[in-house]
Amino acid sequence: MFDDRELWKQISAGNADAFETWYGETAPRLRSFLHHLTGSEPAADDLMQETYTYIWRRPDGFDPDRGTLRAWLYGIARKQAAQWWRKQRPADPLPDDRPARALAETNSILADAFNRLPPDDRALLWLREVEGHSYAELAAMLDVPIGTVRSRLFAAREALRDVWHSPAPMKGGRS
Amino acid sequence: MTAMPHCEDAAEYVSALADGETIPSPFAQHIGACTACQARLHHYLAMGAELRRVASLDADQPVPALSIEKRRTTRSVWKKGLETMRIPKYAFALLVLAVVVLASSLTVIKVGAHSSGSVLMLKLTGPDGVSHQCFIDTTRKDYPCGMFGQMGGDSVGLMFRVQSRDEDRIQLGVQSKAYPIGTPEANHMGDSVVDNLPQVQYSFEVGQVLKIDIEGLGALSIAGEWTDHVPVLPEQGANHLDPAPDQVRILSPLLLKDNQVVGDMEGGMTEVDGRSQVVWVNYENVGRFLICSGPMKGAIQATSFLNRVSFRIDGHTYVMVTGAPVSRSEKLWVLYQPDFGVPDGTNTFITEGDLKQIAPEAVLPENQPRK
Repeated sequence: MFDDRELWKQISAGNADAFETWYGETAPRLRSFLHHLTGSEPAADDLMQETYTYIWRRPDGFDPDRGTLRAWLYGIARKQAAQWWRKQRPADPLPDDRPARALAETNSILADAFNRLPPDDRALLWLREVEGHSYAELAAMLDVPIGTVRSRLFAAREALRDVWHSPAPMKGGRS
Repeated sequence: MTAMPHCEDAAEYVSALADGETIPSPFAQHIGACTACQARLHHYLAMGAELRRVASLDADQPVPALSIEKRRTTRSVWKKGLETMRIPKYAFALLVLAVVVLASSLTVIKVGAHSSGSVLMLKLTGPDGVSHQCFIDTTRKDYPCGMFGQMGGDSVGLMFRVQSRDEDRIQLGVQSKAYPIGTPEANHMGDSVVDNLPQVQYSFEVGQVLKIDIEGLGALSIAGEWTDHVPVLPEQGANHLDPAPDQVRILSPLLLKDNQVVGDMEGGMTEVDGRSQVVWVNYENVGRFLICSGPMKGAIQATSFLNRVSFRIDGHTYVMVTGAPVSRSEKLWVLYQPDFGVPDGTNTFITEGDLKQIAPEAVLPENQPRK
């Protein structure tokens, strides 16, 4: 098991085997992140490929002194997802394959609520709650002060809490 | 005396608490005494736990295979003599991507040189007096120049890297190895060998000549100049589209059989001069094609026109489409050996050599070299 510095040394030297090993270790979780961020498995797969290709093509891109390789990976993926969202036309139906999956597989009301949050809130909450990135890492990823990370996380949690606790739409008239 | 904060003021710090952060004392006091804030904290913690549970369901989802291109390295392979230069499999894999195979007699045309360029063109002259070029893009990390082939009586592997640059002064990292031709090590010279060698650092000033000693080979002179780009075809006769007499040039050949693509050697290239020299194109699951400007025993006559070599074998039409004019002559000879086995198992490659060494059984008595 390499530490970030040694692993990156191998990758930046063009060691495709090391890169593919790292891909195998990190891709499943990154894909999950991108899937929940975009709502589309094909989009998640495309963005994941673009993310790793981006990294592979930039042997100068990562500086071990400025953070972890995993934080850098997720930062790039988040940006790729943000670009993807910008390309979605407002008139396009959202490519959302999550609700069916949420009901069929996750059976989670909260997951459904999460998927209705704005993408930025989703990304931030996921990176914090699931991936466990520190405030400092999130600040570096988002290029904002740590205080802003704290306030944005709070806002995202409140948004999720509101959606989670909002009553389901009533069917029929009032009794 | 500081007033106790209200719930709305403390809410952001409830979120921070849920993240494992410490918070200012007044807010900690308020949250400790406020059931509403504690309820909010429990909600946040439950939300986080539920998100992690949902994420855990994805952990076993298969991910698609990674598709990355191998990072490009400028490389050159030079000199003829295939019997002594059976390039190992690894080298062949790269060869398909970016290798230029050089004929030592090739005319060298310099690309536009600039003192302020970012690409270092190295001119390497070995003990045999033959010069070769390689290019290092200093704007890209780890963009070395690798050269593998025969120099004098040795099979030589060289790798050059620019470690640092200060105007025209550079720190040049060199890895090198030379084995006498005929030794087992000489047959397997390639990236995998040279990459594992220690790197020797040299201070080098562009415009000056650096002489280094390569163990087993002797003195190697290195001169350099800045250019503005890495040529698409380093040192290849790209500036001479018109082939020389008896020259056969095969560049990135695509093979069609009855109008179906049966072999693709994208990026592979070589050229030979003289009727005693042959180009050897080997396609996996197709076989070996030897192409010569002169007749060979068992060969059929092919038609060469611009970038195509056309021929018929056993009722099938073959067309080899290449990236540049193949030959000055309209007549070429092609010897097809579908069952030829490559000793080390490498199946797709292109190289060249002397017909007598590559396929002695195909030499015609009257086929005298005319070099």
